[in-house]
Amino acid sequence: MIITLEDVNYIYNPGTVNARQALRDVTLTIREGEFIALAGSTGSGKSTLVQILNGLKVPTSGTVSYDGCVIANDRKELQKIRCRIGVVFQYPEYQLFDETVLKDVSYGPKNKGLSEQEALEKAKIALQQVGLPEETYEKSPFDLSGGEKRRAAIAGILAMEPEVLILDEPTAGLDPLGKEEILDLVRRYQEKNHSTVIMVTHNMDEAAEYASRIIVMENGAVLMDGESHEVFSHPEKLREAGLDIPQAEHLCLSLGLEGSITIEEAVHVICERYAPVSQ
Amino acid sequence: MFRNITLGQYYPVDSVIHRLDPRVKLLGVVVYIAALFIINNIWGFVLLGGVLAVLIGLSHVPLGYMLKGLRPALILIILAVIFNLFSGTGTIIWKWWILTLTYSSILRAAFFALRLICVILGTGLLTYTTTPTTLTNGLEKVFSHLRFIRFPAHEIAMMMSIALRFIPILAEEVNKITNAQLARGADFETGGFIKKAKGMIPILIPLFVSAFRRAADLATAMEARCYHGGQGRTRLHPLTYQKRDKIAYLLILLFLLAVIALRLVMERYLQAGRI
Amino acid sequence: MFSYLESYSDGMNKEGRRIRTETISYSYPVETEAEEELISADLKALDQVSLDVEAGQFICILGSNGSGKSTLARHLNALLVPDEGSVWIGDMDTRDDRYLWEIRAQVGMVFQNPDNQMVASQIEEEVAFGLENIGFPSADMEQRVKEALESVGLSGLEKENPANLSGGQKQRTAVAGILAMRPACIVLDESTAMLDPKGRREIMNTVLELNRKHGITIICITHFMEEAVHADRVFVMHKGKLLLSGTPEEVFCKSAEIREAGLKLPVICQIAEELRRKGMKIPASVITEKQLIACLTGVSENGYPNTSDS
Repeated sequence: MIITLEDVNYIYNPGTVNARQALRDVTLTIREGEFIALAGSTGSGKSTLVQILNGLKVPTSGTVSYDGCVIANDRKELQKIRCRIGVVFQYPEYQLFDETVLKDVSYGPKNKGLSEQEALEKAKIALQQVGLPEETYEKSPFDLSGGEKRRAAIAGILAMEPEVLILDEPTAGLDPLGKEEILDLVRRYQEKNHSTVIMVTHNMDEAAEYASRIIVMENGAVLMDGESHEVFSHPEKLREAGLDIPQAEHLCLSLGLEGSITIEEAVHVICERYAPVSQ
Repeated sequence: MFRNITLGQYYPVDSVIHRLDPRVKLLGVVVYIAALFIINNIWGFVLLGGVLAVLIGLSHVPLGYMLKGLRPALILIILAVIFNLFSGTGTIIWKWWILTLTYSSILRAAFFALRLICVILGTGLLTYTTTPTTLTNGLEKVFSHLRFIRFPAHEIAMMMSIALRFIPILAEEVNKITNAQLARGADFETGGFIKKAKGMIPILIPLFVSAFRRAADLATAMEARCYHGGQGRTRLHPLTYQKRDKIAYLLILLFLLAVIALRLVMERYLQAGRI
Repeated sequence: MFSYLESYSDGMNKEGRRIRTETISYSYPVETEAEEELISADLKALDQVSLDVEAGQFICILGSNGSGKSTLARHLNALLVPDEGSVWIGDMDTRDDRYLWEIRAQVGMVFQNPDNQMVASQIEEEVAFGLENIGFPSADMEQRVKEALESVGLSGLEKENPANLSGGQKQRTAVAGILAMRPACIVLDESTAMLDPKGRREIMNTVLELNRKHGITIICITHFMEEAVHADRVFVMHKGKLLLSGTPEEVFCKSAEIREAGLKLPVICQIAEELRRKGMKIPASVITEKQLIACLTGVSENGYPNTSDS
């Protein structure tokens, strides 16, 4: 699915003293199969953008179109869009509610109109995708560990088989290995299904390691949008948006080496430059 | 949609009314409401309206802002007026179908509407000029006089201030959970009552889980900061009476006496007139 | 500006502010498992843990979720008392009820969720909460609150509602609430986990300054490995046990154990390790960017040997 945003503005409480413009003239195209990192400091408009993308909010002005079709501001239409674009919100484990993990994960597919049986099938596939072992299926979701809860909640979205997957800070609050597990699972999912993934993150190391395109928001507008190496080649502009550059890049720049943003790339260029000639 | 919830409606300006001790204002409101039920004639309302006008003037809260507080109660006022208007006895001045209008019912409806408006404006003045925190402190202090019957004044006040802090947070949480479930294709709007009620479960359960977690967290945090009930507790801003508070108490007393006197005098006068 | 803190730390001897745990063990009662700990009945949340923290140190306790690090934190100010062993704050045993309030005033805790630890709807009331609880005289309270807010850089926000603050500001308010009680030690129990990078920097800079300028002991419980790089000592917890302890250099060179504990090396250490694997001679003690650059470019800062052009 291709999502196109044209001159999208969003204003909270329009026409009142509390009016606040959260998005300003946002124009974007999300193409199929991209792994996008959506970055920006707190209050930069990322969350509003996410809610616009999956039809939870309707732009104050401007258009959002999905595969070229502009969606009318109609409850049924919006609900359909929400089923096609899955959003994993921050701390998604706080949305778990059902008696068992399996039932909870099948909630989304059931809302899509699938039968009980089909929904459970989808749920099982999704649980396998996130790597939860079968013995957890009949457990209460509240008895899982922190990382397992997070994965169950992500499965709840994957089970709806969304065409676009949006994750809002999927690693927040997890320990380092938990983080790695979640990110690897997202990467595996993306590579296997060639689906579009948009990941909201503050962590530029994660963005550099996993995303191919980076969109930087500042003050409700798109500040930068491009291939990750391109975006990270403007450290001063990122700093303006309240963001860092990846630590690996910072190290390389301090050494006068440009163009590497991941650990692997950094190791490579450092070896080339500094490794003893004899080797 | 819940982001702008504010509890209480404090209007932040500086005035002598704002600076009054909350206990004085609480007593003032109690006396004021009592007065509303003591007065039974138009002169009483004139006195009351005059006092209210002076207080609003002193409070520096714009009249328009005060009147805005009436808006949510408008329907209630209109309904009450209509109900009172057509349920009177006595000399009928107009009649249609089962609806009858009498002098006494018109008078009663007018008084009823005035009382309602005065209650809303008076209590409004209290909340506009007193922060919820100060108000809670005042209540705690007032009710601590009931210690001898073991009235848990401190506990209730603490619960009130925690509620003040957490209701907006929980409201925001409802918003977040609702969005999360909507993103999972939930539909909270179609279907009959039962279906809708069942549809709320995916919101209510996470909300309760979260509320209990927050409560547990808060209890631990309070314990870690040496909280152990009201015993031996001191306050950052202890309530102390100033000269203006004493004057205010005196004025409140005078007002109460005036209202009672007015009623007695008017009753005597009317009786005399009748004889 | 910080006179009250200095006079405070002068007034107490170092020994009186030392924090020790002597082989403490703890198991949660089976029906009330603490959140995120998920301890099965046969597994101890803490198993024979001994720590010795001198006054004025900056300590980091690392561990994955469920490693027992939060349980350990809660032992340090008597929110929990050990099943076996004992915890000493100076010469006060945390099991002794007489010292309970004294210990909690001495060892303050900042928790993970900024919203869930604030009681009042006004910043100054929030900061004063602890003082109010210990019956501190009202007359001097305002001064204490003012100074505490100054120390965390939040002067001028006295009357603000916490709801209008950023996450970092909320956590600094929590630190101020502890500072007002003039503590010997501040325990940060994953206090940066829910913050954005800016908020995380704010809070770390604040406590680092308190540590350096006023000698307040900081015990920082975290799984952000970068926060541990500048610590005096690092402890790594795993399954209720103390797996590693030592200086950051000593701990971060044990990459296998770090991995076993469910943690990951800081990015710079990962790069250094990769370089080592490729045959470059990077000493194990290199854990910061500065050190790595010095080591690579041959500028022998901190006395590191020149290895790049051999």
